[in-house]
Amino acid sequence: MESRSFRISVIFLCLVGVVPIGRAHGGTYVIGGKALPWKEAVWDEADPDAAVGVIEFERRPGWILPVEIDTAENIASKIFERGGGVSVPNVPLSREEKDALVGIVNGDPAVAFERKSTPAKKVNSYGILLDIDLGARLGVDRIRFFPRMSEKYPYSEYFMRAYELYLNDGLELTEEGNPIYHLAVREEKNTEPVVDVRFPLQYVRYIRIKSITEASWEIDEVQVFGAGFVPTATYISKVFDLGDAAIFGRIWWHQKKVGTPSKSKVIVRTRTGTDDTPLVYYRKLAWGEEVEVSKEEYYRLDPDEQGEIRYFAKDGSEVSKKVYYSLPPEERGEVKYYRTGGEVPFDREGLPITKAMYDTLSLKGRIELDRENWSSWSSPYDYREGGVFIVSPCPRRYFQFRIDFESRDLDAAGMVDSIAFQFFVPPIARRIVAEISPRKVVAGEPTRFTYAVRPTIREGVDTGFDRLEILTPVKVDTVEVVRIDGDEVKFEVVEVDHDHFTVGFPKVTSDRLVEVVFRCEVLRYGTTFLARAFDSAAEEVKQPVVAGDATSEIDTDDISVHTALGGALIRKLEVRPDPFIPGSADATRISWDLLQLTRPVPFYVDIYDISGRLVRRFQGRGKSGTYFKEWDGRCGGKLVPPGVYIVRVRVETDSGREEKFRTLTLVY
Amino acid sequence: MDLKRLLVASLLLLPVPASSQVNYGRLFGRRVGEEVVFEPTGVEVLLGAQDPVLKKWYVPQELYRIYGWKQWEYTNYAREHYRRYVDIYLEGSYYYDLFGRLVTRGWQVYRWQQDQPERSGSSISKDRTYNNWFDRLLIASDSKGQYHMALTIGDEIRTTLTPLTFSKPLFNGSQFDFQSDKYSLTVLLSRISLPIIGTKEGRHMDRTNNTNLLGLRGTVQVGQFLKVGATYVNAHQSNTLLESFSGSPFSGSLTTVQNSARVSKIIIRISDDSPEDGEGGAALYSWDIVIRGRDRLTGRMETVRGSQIGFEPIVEGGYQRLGYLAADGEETITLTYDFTDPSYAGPDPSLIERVIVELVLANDYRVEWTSDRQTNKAGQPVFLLAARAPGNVKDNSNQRVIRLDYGLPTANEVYGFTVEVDDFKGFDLYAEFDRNRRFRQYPNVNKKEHHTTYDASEAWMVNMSKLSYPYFAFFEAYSIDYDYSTTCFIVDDKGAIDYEDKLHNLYEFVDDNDDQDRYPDWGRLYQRGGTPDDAVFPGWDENNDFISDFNENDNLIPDYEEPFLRYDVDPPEFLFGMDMNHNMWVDRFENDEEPDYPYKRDHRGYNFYFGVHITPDMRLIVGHQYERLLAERKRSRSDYFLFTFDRSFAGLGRLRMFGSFASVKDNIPDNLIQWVQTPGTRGTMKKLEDPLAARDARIGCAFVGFDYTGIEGLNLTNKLKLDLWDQRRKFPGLRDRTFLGLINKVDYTFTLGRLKLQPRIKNLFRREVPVLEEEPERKENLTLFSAIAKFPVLKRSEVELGAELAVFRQLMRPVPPGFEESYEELTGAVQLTNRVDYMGYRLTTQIGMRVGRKFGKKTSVSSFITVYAGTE
Repeated sequence: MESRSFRISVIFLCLVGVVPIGRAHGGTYVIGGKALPWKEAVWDEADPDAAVGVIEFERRPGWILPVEIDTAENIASKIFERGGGVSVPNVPLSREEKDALVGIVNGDPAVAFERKSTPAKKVNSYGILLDIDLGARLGVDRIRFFPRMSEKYPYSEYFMRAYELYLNDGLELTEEGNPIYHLAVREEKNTEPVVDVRFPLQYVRYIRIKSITEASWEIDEVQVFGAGFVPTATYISKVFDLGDAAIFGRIWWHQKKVGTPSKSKVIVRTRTGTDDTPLVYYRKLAWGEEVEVSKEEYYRLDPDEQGEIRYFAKDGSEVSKKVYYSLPPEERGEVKYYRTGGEVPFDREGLPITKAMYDTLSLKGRIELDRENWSSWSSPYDYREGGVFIVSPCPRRYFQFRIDFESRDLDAAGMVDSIAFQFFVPPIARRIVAEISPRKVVAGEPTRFTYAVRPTIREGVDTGFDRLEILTPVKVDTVEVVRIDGDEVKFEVVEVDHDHFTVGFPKVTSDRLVEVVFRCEVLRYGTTFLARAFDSAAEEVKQPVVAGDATSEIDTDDISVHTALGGALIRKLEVRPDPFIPGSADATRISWDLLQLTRPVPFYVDIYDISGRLVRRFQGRGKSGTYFKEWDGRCGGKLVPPGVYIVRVRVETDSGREEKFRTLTLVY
Repeated sequence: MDLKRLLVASLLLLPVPASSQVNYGRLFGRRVGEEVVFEPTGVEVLLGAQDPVLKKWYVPQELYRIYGWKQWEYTNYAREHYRRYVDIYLEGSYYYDLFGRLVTRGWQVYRWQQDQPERSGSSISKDRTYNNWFDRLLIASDSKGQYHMALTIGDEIRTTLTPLTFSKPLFNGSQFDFQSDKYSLTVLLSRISLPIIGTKEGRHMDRTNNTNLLGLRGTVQVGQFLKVGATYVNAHQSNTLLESFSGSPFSGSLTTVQNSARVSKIIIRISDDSPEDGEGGAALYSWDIVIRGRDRLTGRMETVRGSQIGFEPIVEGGYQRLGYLAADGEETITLTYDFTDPSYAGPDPSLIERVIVELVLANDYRVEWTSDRQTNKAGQPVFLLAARAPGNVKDNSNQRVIRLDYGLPTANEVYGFTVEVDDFKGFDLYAEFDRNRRFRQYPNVNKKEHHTTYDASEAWMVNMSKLSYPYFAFFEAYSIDYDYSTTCFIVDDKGAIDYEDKLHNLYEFVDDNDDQDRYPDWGRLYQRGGTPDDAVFPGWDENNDFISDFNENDNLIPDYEEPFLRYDVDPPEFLFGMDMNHNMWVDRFENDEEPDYPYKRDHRGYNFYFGVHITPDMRLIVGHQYERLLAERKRSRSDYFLFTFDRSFAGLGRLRMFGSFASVKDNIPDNLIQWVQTPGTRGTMKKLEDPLAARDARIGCAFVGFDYTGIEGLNLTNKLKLDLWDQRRKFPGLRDRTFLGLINKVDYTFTLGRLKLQPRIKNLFRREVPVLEEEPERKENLTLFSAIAKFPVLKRSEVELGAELAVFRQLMRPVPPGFEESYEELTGAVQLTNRVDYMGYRLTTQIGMRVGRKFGKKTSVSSFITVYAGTE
């Protein structure tokens, strides 16, 4: 549960105006910049897959950006925080030696990894490999290592007298996934206790130090220094509690790039939920099963806490342990085991578990994403002036966003000053489902569609709607009728554009079925008729519909329309007028539909005479849509002779070439 | 068979001889006519021994005949000393064949047996004698007239059926070969999941779950010129608990671990097949799942669609576009079908027999899938490739429905045929076609037979040449599908597969062995302890001594950098060779991590050339090459011209000339992993990315070399190498490449009394403009003046003195960072060499010292005593 105090403080401190819009209240959260500090809005539970430990909060006030390595900072000191480690792959180590090995990156001047021979014990010091995984790809240009040299541990003479230093950038791996190391430095006659190796700044993830000396040595510390931005970093916001199910408006942010802009990316995603945490916590039971528990309960579970054991006599009375064991066995009742959070669960047969089972309980189980109550992270949003609409499901009460920073260059990074998102409470409806019929259509043929919308409206709470905006692949032909609960109602087409239309009708304030019948062409498989419902009194607050079962009359449960797959890309090649008589019309119009294409491809319209000679060529680029070219019957400014001509339309797609032919008769 | 009882019975039946003469030949068996036969007869009734007494009946012991010991008698070894029992192992045991006939008394060296249905029904044993006596190789052979056969059993057999189907430098198994004048046949058999390496002590390894390999190849000579052949290779999972003939053995069967639990979750991952361009990746329009299984209530078989029963996947990732989800660049879309989800209302997950996932996809997609049964050792799902889009479509013009039938891998099979023509009217031809099928089965704990499905792919190649002196021609065409695979999964000792553990769970029919030595280049189980060949082309190793030809003394310094040696060794940049894939590496020294097919996977193309011998030592070749990737939109096209001349002039020397010109458009990356040695290192494998320097280029290469040997003792060598890469179109980061290398050297050897002298001068000039703009230009000259004097001392020793002055001139102004400034370096060396025969070896002892001084820098001194024991 996100803390209530956080919610209240955010609402009061960071809501930039709570504006009444009709009956709805619009609000905007602003995080970062001069508003809510980034650190206060960060999620306290890291996503295991996200590099959350490398966000820089302090360097540029108000901004967040990937950590830029401080040239004076020892990168090696945070190896374990980043998930890295230290190992010696070619020598078996004792437990003490393993502990000492960890000490070479923890800054402890008393702990050193030693390979020292004594008269009593010969220790191999030659060829020992010290592998260091920094836990992330970082810009590195300097590595130091040295023995203990304090007054208490005066071992400066045990420095590594000959060594090889290898590096790997974290990307160059063998087929088995092991790093392919490159020798950076080989020193056969080292005379310096403090080895200080500098090299050109480069991404490094794995470091290997190889001793090539028979002399005893120790390493107190390995220090790694560098510069540049880390290549990946993630900021995940806290869960914002909006107080009630809300509709989301736009999200926008202010970002800047350091270094070459094309070498860094800022990726923003959102997710929404119906409860206060996107995670599900499980508690392990002895027989391997797990039960879901609350977050609070999960974190209260302490594996070391044995808890209370209570003894009961056969008659159900609680007795002391001493009394219990003094009773004859037939008079003994249950023994119950408790831990923080309650009684230890029963076993599969419903009996209290045994003490042996009780002792084997390891309480903390999995933590998983709550897919039932939370959406997945949305698709990345485009960075656009004025923001973009939030696509995570709504209305939802809880909201979260994440910002991923990616760099392909040590000098390049994205940074974000502030991020803001809009929400509106209460929503238009608790839920609006929609479906369309028919689902299977012929591409390029005008089709009569019925678009059914069923809201779930909490009367007196949700605002209801009297407008429906439906996105279309091409300009809608006609809007024929609007029905509410099966009765035709008076409607108006408020707006028609090439990619959407809006109809107005009497306001719907309860769970009534709204049906809009319109004619439109579909040009490709998977055309989706998205729609948003809104109240004309508050046009800014638009609630998207979701595909679902709006009415039993339609069984598609979907707003996506399918066409046949694998058909022709060019359809409806027509020439009008044909025959064409120059003078009677300015030109003949050659038109055709392009289907299925999602991005413009080159097309050519060639007109040949009957002998195959090209007399006219038009060319252009286009994706799915209707196209036309007009030909005035001329070639090089002169009328071509009358006769039969062949019109060819050809498109060059990535899958190959497709063409269609038609004849045209020129008469004069 | 109870051997002891047989012995006792045999002893009792025989009369006790008067003497203790041992006659092993009559100890066992029974006489049948004139022969003693050794079939087991069981225990017989001993009428003579039916004695009604109460005292213990002492049976004459096995060795009574040999040693004369009686268990009830007092033993006294004063006169006749005790003789210990003979170690039965040293004498061997008795072995009987399938018909009960004695095979031999000796040792069972090797046995592979499979019994079904039975737990641990597959058994292989390799006796220690297999390892110690026979050095892990057994050969049984026979021949009569033109007919020859041999059965070879070994741990490391060099075996090739065809280069596209089966080729391994270390095949562990058995190989049966038959050959006659017209026919030949080879049969390969191996339990590849655990063939046992003979280096271990002889062990009996029984397994329930195995992966078995069967390989077949037969050829028939048709007429005088034509030979046709057929090949079949199959590796399949085998579970000995199942009956032998349940289902097709070649499609394999699920192992007990594969079939130990139901599939609860299927995850499909869709991504961009060409992520580097960041656009036009997979476009996912819709999805559905088809489930065939038994209804929970009625128990009837039914087929339901996810869309019908409201079973939808969890969809994550992807950019939301109007009507579809896009996975561009690094973005991926995952669909997770969870059969344990409370909303799932289809057939009981434990009773599902088949699952098909249908996806409507377009553009440049790559589909991988996994399930909670397709995992690594840690239980994490491992994605395996399911489908890829041909080309790199970005405009949605390839929209289609992809149907994927889920299952766990159970077998891999390759079959095909070959046609060979040998010198028919001057034509030679080799053609091969192969089809690969990769089988899967859907696990279901409640069934023994499972639904089997497979993916298929093809590979073919044609090579044709014609020689009609002075003209010659060559043509090659080939195509190998991107998913053509000669790799199969092998089970571990528990019957499990870690689907991402290449070392322990992958077996290759065709190994990667680019340096063509005895070791595969990649690490796989049961080959050299699973270690990969860590020195693939260590530098350029033409003499196959596993030491770089550029560092034969293996001393961390490339020989072309080392004083005195650098007179004879030229840097590798001055060599030349064919680079048909235009990745700036000579093709014959390339190393990758792919199976050694004759052509690369996912490539289709052709190449042909015509040539003429203008004179016997002069050739002209003109050719054309075209190649494209099948799963990506990448092409390579070149027209080329080649000229070679190589003639030795008597009393003068040898002249070599090479010239080539090519017009190239190539955007197919040919990345490599090459051995790179920089000074101060022994070298390492390094991944090298093809800079695609010939995307639209004209490439000219020329080499002229002349070795003058006209005067005795005088060697004069001149080499010129010129590479020109002319970029016809400007690509970011690329520029025209130029390499000009000129080497001139002369040495003269003469004697003054007992003193042998050799003064030498070598000049090496290099001018280079690298193709990558980020790399600095080079222009430098190195002149070496050196002299070596040798004179004998005593009878078997000689002293050599040498001095070398290197004058290096850096001709770039300003000097690029990291480049050497001009310098002079003087090196002096003295070496005493003694050669003597010692204990059968030729002992060569060298004591010496080398002093080097780079002017303006510190002096380096190296002294040594080295002893070599040689056999020649």
